[in-house]
Amino acid sequence: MRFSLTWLAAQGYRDDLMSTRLKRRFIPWLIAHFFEFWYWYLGAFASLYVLHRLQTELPAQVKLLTDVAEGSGEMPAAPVQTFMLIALGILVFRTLSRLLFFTPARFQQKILRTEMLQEMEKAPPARYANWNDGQLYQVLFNDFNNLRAFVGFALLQLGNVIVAAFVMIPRLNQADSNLWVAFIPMGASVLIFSTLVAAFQKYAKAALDAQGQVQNHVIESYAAKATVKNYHRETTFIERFNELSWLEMGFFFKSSVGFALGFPLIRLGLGLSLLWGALIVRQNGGGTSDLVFFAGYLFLMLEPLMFLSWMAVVTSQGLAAWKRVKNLHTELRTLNPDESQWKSEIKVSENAFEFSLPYWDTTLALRLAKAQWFVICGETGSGKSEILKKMGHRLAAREISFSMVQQEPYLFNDTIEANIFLGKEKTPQLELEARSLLKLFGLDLLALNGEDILTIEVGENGKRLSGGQAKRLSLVRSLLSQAEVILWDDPFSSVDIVLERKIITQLKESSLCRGRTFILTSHRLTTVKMCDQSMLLDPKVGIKAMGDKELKGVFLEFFQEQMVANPST
Amino acid sequence: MVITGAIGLLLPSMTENFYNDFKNGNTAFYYLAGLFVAEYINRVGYQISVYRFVQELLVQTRSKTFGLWMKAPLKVKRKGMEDEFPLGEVLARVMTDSDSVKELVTSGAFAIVIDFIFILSSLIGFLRLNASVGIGLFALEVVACVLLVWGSRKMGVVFTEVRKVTGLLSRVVADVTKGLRELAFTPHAQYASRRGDAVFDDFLKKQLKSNVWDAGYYSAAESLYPILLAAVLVFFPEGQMGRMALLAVLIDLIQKSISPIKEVAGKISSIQRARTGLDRIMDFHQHFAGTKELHRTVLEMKSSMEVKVNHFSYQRADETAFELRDIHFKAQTGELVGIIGMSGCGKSTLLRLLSGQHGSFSGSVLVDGTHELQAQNEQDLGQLCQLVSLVSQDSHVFSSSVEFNIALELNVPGFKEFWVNAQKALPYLGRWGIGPDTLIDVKSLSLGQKQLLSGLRACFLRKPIVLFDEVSSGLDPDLEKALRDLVLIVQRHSLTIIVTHRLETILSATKLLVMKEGRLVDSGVPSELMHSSDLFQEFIEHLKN
Repeated sequence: MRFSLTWLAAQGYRDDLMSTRLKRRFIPWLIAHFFEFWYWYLGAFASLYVLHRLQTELPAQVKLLTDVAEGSGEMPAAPVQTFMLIALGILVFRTLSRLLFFTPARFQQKILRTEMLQEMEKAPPARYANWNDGQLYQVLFNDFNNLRAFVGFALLQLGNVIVAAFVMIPRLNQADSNLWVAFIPMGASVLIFSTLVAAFQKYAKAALDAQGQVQNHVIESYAAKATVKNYHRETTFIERFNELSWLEMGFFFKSSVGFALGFPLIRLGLGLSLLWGALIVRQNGGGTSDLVFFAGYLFLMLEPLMFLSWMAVVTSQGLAAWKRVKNLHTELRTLNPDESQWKSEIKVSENAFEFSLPYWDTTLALRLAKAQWFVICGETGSGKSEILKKMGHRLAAREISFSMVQQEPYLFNDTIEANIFLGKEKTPQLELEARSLLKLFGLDLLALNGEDILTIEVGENGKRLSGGQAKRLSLVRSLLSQAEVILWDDPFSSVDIVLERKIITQLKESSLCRGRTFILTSHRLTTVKMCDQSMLLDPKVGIKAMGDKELKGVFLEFFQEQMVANPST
Repeated sequence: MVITGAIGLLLPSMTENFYNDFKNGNTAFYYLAGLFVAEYINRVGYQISVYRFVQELLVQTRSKTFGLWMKAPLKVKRKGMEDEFPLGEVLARVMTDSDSVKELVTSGAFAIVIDFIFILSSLIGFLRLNASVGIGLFALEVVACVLLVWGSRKMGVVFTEVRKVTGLLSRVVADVTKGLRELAFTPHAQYASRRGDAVFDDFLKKQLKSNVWDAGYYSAAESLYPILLAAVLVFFPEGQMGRMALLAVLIDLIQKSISPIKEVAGKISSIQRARTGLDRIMDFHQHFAGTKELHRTVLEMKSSMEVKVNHFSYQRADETAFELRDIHFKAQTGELVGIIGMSGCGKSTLLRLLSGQHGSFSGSVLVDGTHELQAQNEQDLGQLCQLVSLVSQDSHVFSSSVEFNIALELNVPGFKEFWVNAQKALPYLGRWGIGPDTLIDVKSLSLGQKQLLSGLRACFLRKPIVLFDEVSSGLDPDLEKALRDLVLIVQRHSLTIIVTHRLETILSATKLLVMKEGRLVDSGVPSELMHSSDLFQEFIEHLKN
């Protein structure tokens, strides 16, 4: 079963709220959430109400019984059945109230995650340049979990406390309003417990920080293991590990002391409240049955009070999570000042792209004819890759569809098929094209024992492939993308000259590449000779030379020098 | 625990007295109040001592795990010396698994003993108060306990599924966020959000399922109270209905014993979780139990070594095959041996081969003319590693103090003197402005500075053979001079082999190895080679330009 949107819609999900949820502020968002899933919450509150009515019935029933025992009352009819019915009611309504509270929170979590991911996917990377992968992960993974806990758990307990108070207070008032004072020890113990937990929270945080240090030490030791072994310094590292571990556990111990001191307090408070209640009952001339009645109430109040302290923790985590989520979402939707600048740095005419790109201290003015192959050359470190990236930013700003393969492209931990189609529907024609491209790029060899090449899993960031294979797979991906402009950073470094010639020749002839503009970087003369237009970059002068297939002057010298220095190229 | 038992036993009878007498005098109040306070103190004492114990246990388990891993030798793999386990695995074993024990403490699972004792003493209390009611309630509570524990095991299965899907979610989220910037540079059909959506769905499904269990389970535990009350009525002998206080005590006891019963089940599941963590740690320990440390007798090198590399081939990053063949040479302590050649001739490979980083190869190293180390043999290779220190731009620099980076430990005797001498010999250090206690920010270091630090390390922790892979370009003149001077200092007490591109270094070498396409083409002192080797002349010409 998949939770399709139609299925979710039947549960209350409102499609018209699509991608508006995260735009709201906290409270309006929360209110919108309640309205979106209102009948879940209606049911939830109704169940809570019934539940508490049933639960408060218990002390009353017990009082009746004790009255009988004291000889002052009538035996109620079918008492056993009454208790069993109450038990059944508690089972049903407690379960219902929890489920009805939890489920919409889970829906909300899923919906928000999807919305956030869609937003992230749409936004140009410049907008979230300040966020590293770890932080993005934290928002998408941890923060939405914390928000869910807030909506599902903290609100359930809040509802619980409110309904409990709403039901219990009038009934106890009816019985004996003097008894309220006796709740003081219990209330105080819960308060002290919460304060203790909060006060010791700083040690819990310190313990977490220290844990981070221990973790870093492990990571560093891992990276340095060869060096450490070379100098036989293992013991130093083990000792340091111990030291940090003790530090962490020291904080951990301190943080648990708060809990150890506070938690048993609640039982003490409960006991003292009972004693105090007994005193009051005695003063008022009540009997044992009154005391039993009071004890029953104490017992009922215990649970909601206990949860108050956890609510505070969950709420503060939820709020912090919302803040981060909100920050990221706002940044994703805010135009980066660079973007409008980029837009002005590209002109598109019917048959050419005109760029003016910042390059070291100068500006490169470039006119690239459409539907041609253009290659950028230059020494290592001259900024070829940067120029390619800058072109990408400008094309994106003008919403021209392009596909770029960077020096070290990222591959998803998925099948080859998923990696080259990226969610596109696999039509028979597309599949045919994909297979022939994989073959052209020498990737058909990956399918060893007659397995289908498209179903091969590439592993985390393509680690089951070699660097060259991963690169070539990305080239295939960009060719299949239907982008108008193809940007390739040093595409043929892992391909020998013969295969390179074959690939370029076939691509130029294929219908797949007709009308597309190719912009590549390269350090090989052979590549330059296959392209229509070429450019030599130099940090000092900008464009040092332009050329076509026949190179002359400085451009030719550049390659001749290279061949002397490194005959293998 | 004994005290807990005693308190548990005392409680029912004292409560009965209390309910009987609370109208008549204060004695029962004092007793009961005293008992509550004693119970509090007892619990606090118990919890704190348990935490102490766990703290010790955890540090020791962790340290043992880390220690075993740290001491375990690196394995020779295709790409050189590597650790047997990926980093994620080591982190998981050392950190995450031991954390499950910590969770045990935070969830209060150690109090399970107290809970059990309390339940038991309540049960005994029931029995003492009234035999027939007691046996009935006793049986019911035991059945309830068993049912809840059984249910928690069923729940464990559901939760394991949730954990699995949470792991999947985490992996997909990490994968997708890492690839986001890539997706922005190529057209796609919402790959990230579609893939995310599928796993979010899966996650939702499993979570909802577990919620049903979760909600039902705790509700079942809560419905125990009225059920037990009904049971009291069923079991209560008609004739004793008048024993008012007895009834009150029973009710009180039921109330008190229910929350431990509820908790026992939850705690058992967290104990089970912790157990799987501990099992994994134990497996890890077991794994190392079989491995022996490499030969520990430290081989000394007093005067010379003779290197024979017969054959070694490997795949380069660009997938072309590369071989080294027939490289034989001999060198003495105190010599400076330079390796030169055009880029791609295999000189850095040779250096890494001698440091053991590439693993085994066909050939041998003869130390002091007597000890022959076979390079195919892992033990021998380990011994070679112990003689050698490699200084390259890949040498590890720690984000720690300068002293730690050089000595690899703190407060080493003699370090202060060493530093003073180093500062005198290398004025660059003064200009750089670092001292023994300066914290190194690895990201801000240049390649040359990294090399200088690891060179100082090789200098301080003397090794008979020091291999330098010189940084080729982009150094400021001061740093370049410092590195050159450092080589001369090292040369005083070690055999120094250096891959170099600098004329000054080449000319000060006592012996040069000229390489081309993986072979040794010429060797000798610079002044001789100047006349005899064409390749050397060509190389020098190239450098001069």
